[in-house]
Amino acid sequence: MVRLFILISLFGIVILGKAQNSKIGGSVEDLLEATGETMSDDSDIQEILDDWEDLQKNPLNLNSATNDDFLRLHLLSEVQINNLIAYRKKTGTIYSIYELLAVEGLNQDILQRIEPFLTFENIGSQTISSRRSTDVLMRTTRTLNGPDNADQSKYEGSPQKLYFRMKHISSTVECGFVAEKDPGEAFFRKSNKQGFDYNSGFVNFGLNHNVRIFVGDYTVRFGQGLVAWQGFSMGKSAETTQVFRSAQGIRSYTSTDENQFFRGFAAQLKYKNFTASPYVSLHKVDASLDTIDGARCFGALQTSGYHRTGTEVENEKSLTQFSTGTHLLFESGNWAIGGTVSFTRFNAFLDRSDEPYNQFLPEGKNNIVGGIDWKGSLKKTFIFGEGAICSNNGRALVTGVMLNPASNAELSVVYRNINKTYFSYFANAFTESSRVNDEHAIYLGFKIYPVSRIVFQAYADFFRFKWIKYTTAAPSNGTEFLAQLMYIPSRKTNFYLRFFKEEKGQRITESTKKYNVSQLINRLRFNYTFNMSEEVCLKGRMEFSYYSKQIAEKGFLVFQDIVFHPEGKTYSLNGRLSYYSTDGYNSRLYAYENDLLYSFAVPALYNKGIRSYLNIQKDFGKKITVWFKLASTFQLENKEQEGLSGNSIKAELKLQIRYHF
Amino acid sequence: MKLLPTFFTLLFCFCFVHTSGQDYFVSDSRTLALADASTAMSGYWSVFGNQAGLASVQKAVLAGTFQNKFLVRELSTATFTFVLPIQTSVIAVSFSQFGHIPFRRNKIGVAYAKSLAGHFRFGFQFNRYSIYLVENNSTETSYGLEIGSQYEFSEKFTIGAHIVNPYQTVIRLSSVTYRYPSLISLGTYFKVSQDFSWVTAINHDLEKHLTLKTGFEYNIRDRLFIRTGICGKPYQLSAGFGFKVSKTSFDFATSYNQYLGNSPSVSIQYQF
Repeated sequence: MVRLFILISLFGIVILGKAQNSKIGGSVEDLLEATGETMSDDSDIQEILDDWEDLQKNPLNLNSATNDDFLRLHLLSEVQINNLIAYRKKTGTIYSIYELLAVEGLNQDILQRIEPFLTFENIGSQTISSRRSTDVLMRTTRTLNGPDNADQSKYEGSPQKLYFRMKHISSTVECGFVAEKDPGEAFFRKSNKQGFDYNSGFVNFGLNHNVRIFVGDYTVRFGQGLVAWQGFSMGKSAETTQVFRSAQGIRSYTSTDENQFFRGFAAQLKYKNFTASPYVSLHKVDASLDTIDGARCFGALQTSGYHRTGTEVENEKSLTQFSTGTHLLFESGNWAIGGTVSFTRFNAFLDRSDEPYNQFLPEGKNNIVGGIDWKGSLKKTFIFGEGAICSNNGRALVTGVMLNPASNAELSVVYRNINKTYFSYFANAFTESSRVNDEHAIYLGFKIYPVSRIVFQAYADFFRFKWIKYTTAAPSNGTEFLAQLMYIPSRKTNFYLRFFKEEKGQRITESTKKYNVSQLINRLRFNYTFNMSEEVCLKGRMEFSYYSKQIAEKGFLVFQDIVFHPEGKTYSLNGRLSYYSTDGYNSRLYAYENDLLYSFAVPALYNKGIRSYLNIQKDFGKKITVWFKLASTFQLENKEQEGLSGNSIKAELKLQIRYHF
Repeated sequence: MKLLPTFFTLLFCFCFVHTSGQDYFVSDSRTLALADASTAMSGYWSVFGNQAGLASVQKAVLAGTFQNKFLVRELSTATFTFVLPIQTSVIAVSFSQFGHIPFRRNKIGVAYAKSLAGHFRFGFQFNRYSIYLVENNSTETSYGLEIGSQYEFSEKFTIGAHIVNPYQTVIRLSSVTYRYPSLISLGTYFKVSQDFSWVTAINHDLEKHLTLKTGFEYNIRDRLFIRTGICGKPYQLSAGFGFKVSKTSFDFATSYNQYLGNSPSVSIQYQF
């Protein structure tokens, strides 16, 4: 349930501050909205934002940027990057963004998004080496009148959420520290006498161009995520043809998910065409420990990150996880092939519960997983994939093709075949289920610009589970579709109509009988964005949902946003007013909210109510920025809790300060 | 002993009649790979998709296709067609046979198509349906009609409309009234680039089932094509490829249904 809560509450939108950055805000929104629904972690997005913020200050020089640099944009596909680099090789120096229209696979829409992060000048190495910045960020969040307050007596600490982050970047060294106190966790008392409940730090430095060392907390991302992929990942989204994962190897960890990272040492070593990424980690994670026949064991890892009650505190860092492995990549031209090995050992036995969905999953102290990944392009075709095998002989394959058959069309296909015995602790691949296990599926996505100003994109995913899942009572299958038609009448305005449909088998329990029935979710959305002027941007949405399993439910949401960036002023505002009405929780709708920089909010809206918020950002000189958010939900009728008749109001307050020098 | 398989086969066929009547609407491998979104497509195989498309045929063609539904022998279909352009018109004769004794159904069609003012094409086809009934050891025959039109806005964009069996042909047997399904379709053909085309279609069976279809064809090499398509509902994913060797061309396709599996298909065409 907590996992679900995290899943629901995490996604978000950030509007980056100043007036000239409204385009970036747009990109952020688009990308987050596009990826949001499939994201499983709030912290994931932070990394992209970090990259964008950094790129905004230090734009990529289009004439010297490498493949890896372009990947940091998170906005171009591997095929597009290859085409761009090939074009640059052929024509020499590029002087303007409009020249890029000649590159196959690039169009106005894409160029508009990447423009803020690019420069065409020849920035000398001097400028790059002088790049240095430090930022200190503090944030506090508090809920007023919410149900959280009612449970407060059970918790050790206050309902406030506190967050602290410091990050220093220079051309050779990056280091930082992140600390967080979740609502209900103790702060400078009880179980957290030292202060924050969660503390994380990192340093990474380049010894020379070929060697980079990582100390402290870091994440690993290899291949297509079958063996190890921590942090941000793209899944099925409205960016229907972006199905390839560009593995970034090792990166320092600066987020707040308290479990999905490694702690120890890692390195990225380059020699000629080879890149090796060895890592070793010793990390204490949360689990509820038990003893069977004198041996310590645990049923599952606890991933919520909450340490508020006696039991949660007791389980905190009770299990030691040792992980080591490496990835070795060989690159030649447009082709690359890599291999990954990952070994994990706990200081207790994994003894899973006897539920049928656990039947084929490995247990014990150790798990070793190996994989081979590949990517390469041939003219307009890009192929990629990864095959993996784990110690109990479980096998997995994810492979795909991305095709650019014409400059105004993209087509992607992904095939995945994952055994019911396959398991890796750190797997996170392009799959329907969050657990990379037992999935046989084929995905087809396309994006077409049939005439100028119109974009049509859609995907279809057919998946089959040969064994029982957590939410099913028997082998099952399902289909998922998304289609979106976007009309962009001008650089200032766009409209889109999106339809989403998912049909899959889900369990029903009737006294002693358990069986699968088909669950259907339909959503239809109409959205518009209108930049009235450089200062004012309007955005509105209407969305309908339909859900049916045993009973049917309907839902409706409408909202209006306004973003105001007065020119030449040090402040900016944005706000929203939304109204929603659904028959219940199943027909809930999500609406991404603008929030403080680096913070995310996507509340699930259900029953009937009005939600509004206001964000204010103000700069105090060049170094200090303050963000403030007030959000309130006015629940009109509370259908779920029968005791509470009538209306209720819940408010949330957030404050954030950044000192940048 | 033969009754049981007959019963199941019939049951199976009736199921399909009620979901979408798919097995009546035969298609060649190229069209199958494009999820049967053939309403706005032109060429000799329009003899099954939309006869108006035949009007673009310039040379006589002899073609055949074989499809095996869900890899079940009893659910296979074989078709032959001969298309002949005569002056400004095109006529075509087609024959298709579904199933095996004890359940077998044949369809013979004679089509006529013509292009008007260059951009507008129309066509129609008379069908003779026959169904072999093992219990009577007799063949029941009935007749149907198909009408289609296409309008070519430009070389890049065509729309099409097609109706099969508008007056709903039935066969009345002593035990049951057997209704041949009707189908009304609208479709588009969009030539995204010289090598890449995109087709869509929307079908309605005049009862309550609406099916959306879309497909893509990519000419990767001179004489080599790859194709894929999606349709729903029932949800099916299809894919295939085709190549040409002088005057003969071959197409292979499969359509995948999650519950029932693959339905492979092969077509051969000879252009005179």
